[in-house]
Amino acid sequence: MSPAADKSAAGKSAAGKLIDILIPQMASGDATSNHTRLIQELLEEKGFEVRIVVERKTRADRGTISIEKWKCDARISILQHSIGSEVAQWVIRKRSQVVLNYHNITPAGYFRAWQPELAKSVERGRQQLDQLAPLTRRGIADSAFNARELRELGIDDVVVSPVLWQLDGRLDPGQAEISESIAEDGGTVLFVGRLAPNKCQHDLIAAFAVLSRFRPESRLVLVGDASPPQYLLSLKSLARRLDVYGRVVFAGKVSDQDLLRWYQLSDVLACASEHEGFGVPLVEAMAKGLPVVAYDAAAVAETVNGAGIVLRDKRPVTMAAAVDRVLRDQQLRSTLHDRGIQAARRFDISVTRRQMWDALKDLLEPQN
Amino acid sequence: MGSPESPDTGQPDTRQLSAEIEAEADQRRRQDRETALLELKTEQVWADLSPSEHPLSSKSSFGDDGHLLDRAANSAALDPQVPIGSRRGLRGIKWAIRKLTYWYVRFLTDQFNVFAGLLIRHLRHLEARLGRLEHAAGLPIDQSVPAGWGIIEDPPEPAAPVVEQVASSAGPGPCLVMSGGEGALVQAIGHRGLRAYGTEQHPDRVLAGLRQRIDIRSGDALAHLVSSEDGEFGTIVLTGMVETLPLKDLIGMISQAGLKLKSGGRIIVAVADPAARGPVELELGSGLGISPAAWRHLLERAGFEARLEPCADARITEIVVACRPAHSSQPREP
Repeated sequence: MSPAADKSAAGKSAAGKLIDILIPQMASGDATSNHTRLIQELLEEKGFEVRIVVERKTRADRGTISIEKWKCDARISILQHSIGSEVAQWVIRKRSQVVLNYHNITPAGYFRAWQPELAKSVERGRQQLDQLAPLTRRGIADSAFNARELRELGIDDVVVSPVLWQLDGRLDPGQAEISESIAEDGGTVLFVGRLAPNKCQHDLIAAFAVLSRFRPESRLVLVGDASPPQYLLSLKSLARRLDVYGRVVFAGKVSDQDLLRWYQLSDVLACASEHEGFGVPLVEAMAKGLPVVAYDAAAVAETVNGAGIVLRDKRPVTMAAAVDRVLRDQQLRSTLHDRGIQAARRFDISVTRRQMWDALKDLLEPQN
Repeated sequence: MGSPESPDTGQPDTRQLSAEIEAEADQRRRQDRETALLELKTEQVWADLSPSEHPLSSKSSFGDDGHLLDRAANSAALDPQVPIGSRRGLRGIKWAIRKLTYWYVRFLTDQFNVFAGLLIRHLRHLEARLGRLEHAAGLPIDQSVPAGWGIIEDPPEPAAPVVEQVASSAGPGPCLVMSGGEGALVQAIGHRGLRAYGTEQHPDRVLAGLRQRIDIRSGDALAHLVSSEDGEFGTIVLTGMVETLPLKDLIGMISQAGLKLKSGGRIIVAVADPAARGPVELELGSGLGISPAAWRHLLERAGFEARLEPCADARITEIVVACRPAHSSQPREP
């Protein structure tokens, strides 16, 4: 074989082993970024070379390339899609075939009144999703709920593979303990997630105000960064006007270690969110044996899978009654603890990695 | 405290437990007036604090102004994103120009967005206040009282003759029983070999139905109907709480039911005549519910062939059976 032919074959072989993962940006503590890193690790273990392509490089983006330098010469390109982005626009412009890893897009209506520019951005994400549908070789959805959306867009080849994530000790049932006794007038209620209108922390504060009538020493802990910031201000005003400000902890964005501690210190995780494409904190709570009380919306019931209390009504009295029931019924807590740990095993990294590999492997086999 | 157990596994049945908790909450609302008031207060306080009166809904109950403001908010927000790609050669210079332009444009758009957001927020507040004022000034007492307040007694479960007659009048399946209570009608229709389920807002009634393994789904009947597929049902039965709804909701219900019915499907209305209420209920419930004759009129206007059938019951003396002619596909507004 001539040197030129050798070079060409080597080039082809390199391209055959090359996989691009496109994501707007890599950020520490972000579920989609963690998921991307773990897919990268998985594929590199399988012998592929993985490039992460981002919209704008930041200091945290070492080892990534900018979308401007993307040549779409990889064997497959996996697009992480959850909001309107320039990387998605680039794919559309180049008419490049992609594997669409879909994490769902929050409806714009939740943000319109709070942060119109964010509403525009999510609307753009929806529009891009329509344009991406014909370019999608395969859809990979975090949940059956997300998969349904992709199928409605006309994407026939859709596989469900949950988000990959692993944080030290969070999915270790050995550390999980059930709080034996909770003071009759106390209890700690936790919610983890961005402070955002679609997550409905205002409903949790309202429910907590009602709960405080029969549990005056109870506490509500809201972990998560504010997006948009005005929502946080309104939440604080709400807590003040309902006379519970002193017992609502706005913990903000916390480290993994602190998050783990909040899970350990809490007695129940309450979720009033109206839009969850998957619900990572629900799984984390279940993995820690923390009972879950959640409103039945989007993919919540599917993620909880009978291991928690899922309510169809989230009016404050109903949510408060459910939380109170869990706090005072030790037997129920114990059952939800056991079931939660069992249910969370479905999302153990060893299982989800296998699912992700199953979702991708036939696209990566030589004949393809 | 014991939890309801699944007969198959002996483990707590979380679905039944949820229904039980919803019933418990409803009981607390009724028994503890302060808790019920606190719940109303939480809604009111949040309505005051959030930038929109109905921030999570695309519909405004105060007319079309809410939509206009939504559109204004949407178009007033500027997107500072600029293209980031360029050809080789002048890339560095272009990059610097773009970066500088972006910073400047970003500054301007941020200022504008904050200003527009502020204006729109105040307009929303103004609109909400005006809406409340209009409502307070123009509505009779029954419609300004929040739903579920219980100023008039909830209709009782349908008596045996009503159940028997409605079940025998049911047309093709599947059948939806709106406000189906504990499920006697669903069960009777099911015994006739039709696939049927009911919706019910009262959690204690849902729970009673679930205990008998009757398919009763909790939630608002009209919301359920709206979210159903067009042409999904062969028969829709309107009963129970339907008789205490205002006319506007009933017209909406007929219009939606028409959409969700198959060709040749039918609507059966089993409600008591509001004129037969006692003097107190008659006064407190003025404007709520309509007579079977008025139902027939509305259904005929909506393109149905409707008839009144006498019923051997003390409350519900007549049942309305309305069939859509097989050739008619599109319902008309009642």
